[in-house]
Amino acid sequence: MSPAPSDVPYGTLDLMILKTLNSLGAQHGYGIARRIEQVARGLLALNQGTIYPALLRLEQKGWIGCEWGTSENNRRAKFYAITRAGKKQLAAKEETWARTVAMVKLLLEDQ
Amino acid sequence: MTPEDELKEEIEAHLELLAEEHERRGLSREDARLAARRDFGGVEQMKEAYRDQRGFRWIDSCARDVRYGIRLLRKAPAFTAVAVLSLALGIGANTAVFTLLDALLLRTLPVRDSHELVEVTAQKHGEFAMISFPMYRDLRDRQEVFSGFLATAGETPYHVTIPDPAGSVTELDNIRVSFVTGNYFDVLGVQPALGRFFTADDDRNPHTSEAVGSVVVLSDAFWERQFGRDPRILERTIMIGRSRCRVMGIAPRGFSGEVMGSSPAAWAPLVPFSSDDDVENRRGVFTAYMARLKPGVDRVHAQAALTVLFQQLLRAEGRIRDHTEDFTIALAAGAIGLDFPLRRTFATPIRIAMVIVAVVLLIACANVANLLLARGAARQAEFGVRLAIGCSRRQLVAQVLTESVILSALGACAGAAVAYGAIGALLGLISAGPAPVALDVRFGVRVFTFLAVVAIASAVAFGLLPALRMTRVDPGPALKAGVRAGPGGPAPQRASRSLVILQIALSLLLLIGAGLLIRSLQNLHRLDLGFRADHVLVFDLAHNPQRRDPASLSAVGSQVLRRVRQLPGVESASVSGLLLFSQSDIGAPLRIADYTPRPDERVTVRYNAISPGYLETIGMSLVDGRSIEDRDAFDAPMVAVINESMARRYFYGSRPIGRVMVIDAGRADNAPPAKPIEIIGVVRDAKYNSLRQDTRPMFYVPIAQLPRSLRSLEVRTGHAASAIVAPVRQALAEVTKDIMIRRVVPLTEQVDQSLAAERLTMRVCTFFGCLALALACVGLYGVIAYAVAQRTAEIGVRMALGANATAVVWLVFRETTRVILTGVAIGLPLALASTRLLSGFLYGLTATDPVTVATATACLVAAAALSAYIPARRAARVDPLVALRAE
Repeated sequence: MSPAPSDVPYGTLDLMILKTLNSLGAQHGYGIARRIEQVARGLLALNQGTIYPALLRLEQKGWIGCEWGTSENNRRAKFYAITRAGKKQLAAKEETWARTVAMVKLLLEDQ
Repeated sequence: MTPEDELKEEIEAHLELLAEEHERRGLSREDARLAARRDFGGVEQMKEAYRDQRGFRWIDSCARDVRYGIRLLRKAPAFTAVAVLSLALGIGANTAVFTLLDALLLRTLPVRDSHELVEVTAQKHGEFAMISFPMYRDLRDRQEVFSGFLATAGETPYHVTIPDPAGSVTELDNIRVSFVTGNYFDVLGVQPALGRFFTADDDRNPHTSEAVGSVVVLSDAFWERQFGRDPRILERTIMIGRSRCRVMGIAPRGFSGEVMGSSPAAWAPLVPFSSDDDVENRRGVFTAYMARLKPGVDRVHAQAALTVLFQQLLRAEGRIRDHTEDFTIALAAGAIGLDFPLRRTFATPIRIAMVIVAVVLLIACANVANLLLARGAARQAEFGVRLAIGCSRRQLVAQVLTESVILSALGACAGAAVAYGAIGALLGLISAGPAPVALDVRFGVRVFTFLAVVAIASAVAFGLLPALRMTRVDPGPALKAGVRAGPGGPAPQRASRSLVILQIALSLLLLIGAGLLIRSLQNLHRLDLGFRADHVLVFDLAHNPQRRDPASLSAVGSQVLRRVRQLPGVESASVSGLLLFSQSDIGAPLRIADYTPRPDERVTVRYNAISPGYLETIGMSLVDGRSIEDRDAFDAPMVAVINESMARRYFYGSRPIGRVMVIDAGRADNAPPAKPIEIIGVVRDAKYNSLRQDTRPMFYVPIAQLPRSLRSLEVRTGHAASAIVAPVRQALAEVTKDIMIRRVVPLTEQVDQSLAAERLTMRVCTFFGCLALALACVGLYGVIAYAVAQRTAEIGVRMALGANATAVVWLVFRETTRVILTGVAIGLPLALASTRLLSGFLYGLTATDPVTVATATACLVAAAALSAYIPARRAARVDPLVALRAE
């Protein structure tokens, strides 16, 4: 039995969105959510709606930009893309995250 | 598309894509939609979070604060009423005074590029010097700094006759016509609403308008009032005085000339309506000047260039023999119109009033802040609860500030009503001044902006301190103290005490100011005028300048007097060339026999041309010799009566009767050789233009021998003015239509009008001083009453231990005394430093007059002590048993 899907750890959603946009290029909200779910392979219980406030927050910080486009089912949809500042931020966050993980791992192994 | 719509569309697109995905996996359409909803999570929750992120939260919480604030204020109607009333008075007074200030000093003329306009005057050592009309023409033709240079003779009331095409005739008296040079409208850059404006071509040929007619431009208001905006007006002709004038055009609506506060009915070209003597005389002035600077020329440069030209022209003219380099041209900003009596008289009072009402608003704000603080103490428990359940301090401050803004918004609305009333009262005071008032005091954009800014600023002023103080709550103790009125504590007490101290200091300032002004006016009223102003009616006359030739003037004057003296109730009557207390002046350069002037001295003495009966009518008493009589006619030897000051100044105490002097016509004038004037009498010194002026040398000549104009008719009568005015008007009309009565005033009132500025300042200062005192007393009462309520238990204990009522009253009073004395200690130096502002309005005392200062301080202390006495008495009546049981 696979473990029960966990909630999104605090502070990681922003990182996930930035990473997704960095690797996939411009995406609409649904695309981002699906990608995150796919990558997490069922380990994550994501309320897809929660990514929108996060997207707005990233946009306000200038890390992503957006414009209206047409989705695959020919609907008007908002497409988000990572900005240069966003890429810098992503690199920094990835590093912090890796350090955190390494530290927690060390602590856990030490027990 | 609003952000909200975009969000909705974005969500819908997402849900649809999600549902399609589920359908592809084999769910039915209906189930797929449900599954999409499930995967997405709560749509409303998400929207809420999204709005929070966007900042909608702020508006939401703002609306909530407003709703909550309104509910709170409605629950405390007494508090709300007192606060709104204080603010309404403060804001209203400020708005009213600002409206006037705006109309008088800020609003620019409705003309093209008003910033380019300048007022042109000549000065000698900072004093006004004249630019005669011929000098104006020379300057205008030779200057290179103005794109246009106009002259205006100002308004004159005229008899106007309007023949109707149907054959009937309308006769109107007292229609104000402004006489201006032909380039007037062109220089101002005004476009006609109808027809065209006159030009330099229409402004020629002195003395011919009666023969060949002239042209006239009507104001929009006159066109509407008399002609119902009939466009065929341009084909018609009206009579101005004796001149037929073709109506040439209509001025645009809202244009009322170059003088703020005037509103002529018509404009006519100056030269055809002026006498030769006026337009060719290089020794007199009857016009004011305005010009438009060429683009790119600045005022300083233009001033320098014109001064050089002016001095050259003066030397060429030869009228002034030496020191022509003392004469300069001054250019003042003309955007707000020419400086006329209204502004000259009231500019300073209005500015002072602005300061006063600002102080009152400050006091009102302090009052409201105090009320808020007292309420805040009672709301400690509420704030404690809110902080305990997770409300941030910032949110609390926002809440309290919102309440303040609501209060000040209510205050501003009520204040607008107060302002409306106050403007009427202020205009009344201004209209009692020397000039007729046609001020446009509508609430313009600027006034509304001012109102809004004042309201918001005062909300912050009275709201911020309480908001910060009140929310400095530790939830624990606040909750423990329970719902019962919170502990208050020393901090808010100290804050509100400081506010009361501020109020007392500021009130003292206003009271001292009011006291100084009241005592000055008393001093001025007590002055010896040198004549008896009671029972004298003064008719202010305007004389058709074309009909000012000496012979006819002389004849008209004596005819009018003969008629008027026959009227029942008239004890005596006279005419004269100067109106008493009207700011007008005529001086004559004199050569006095046996008087040798110092090398640099020019003997110029003021004079008035008077008819026989003048001295008797206004009640001046002769101290020596005889008065001017009928025998001193046009062709009789010239005579004069001089005043005591002149006798002292030029005859060193020797008897002047029989001595001779000559009016010194100067080299350049081609006037006939001056005749000697024999001094026949000496009259007591009298005030002439204003009460403040020291009496100066002055002489009186028979109007028959030196007629220039008929400016005033004086009538001494035991009858009421109303019974005399109509018959005199009738008599005047029967003699001539060239003389208009501008207005009729009792001489006492005419004298009083010269104090209009003082009175305005005094009234404003007194009214607001009392208001400020009342507000301060309410504030003090509130603070002491609150302190007593806080100390009920302590007082109970003291009384139980044997303190008597007197001791308790003193206990409370000790605190009161400290507050009052601190207020006075701050207020006194403040007052002594700032009453200097008033020094121009004071008479017979200094700005730090000790009696006034002491009286005002005593009044304030007494009123303040009284307002603290009530709560002190209440403290003395505390029942120890009840007080202790309550603990």
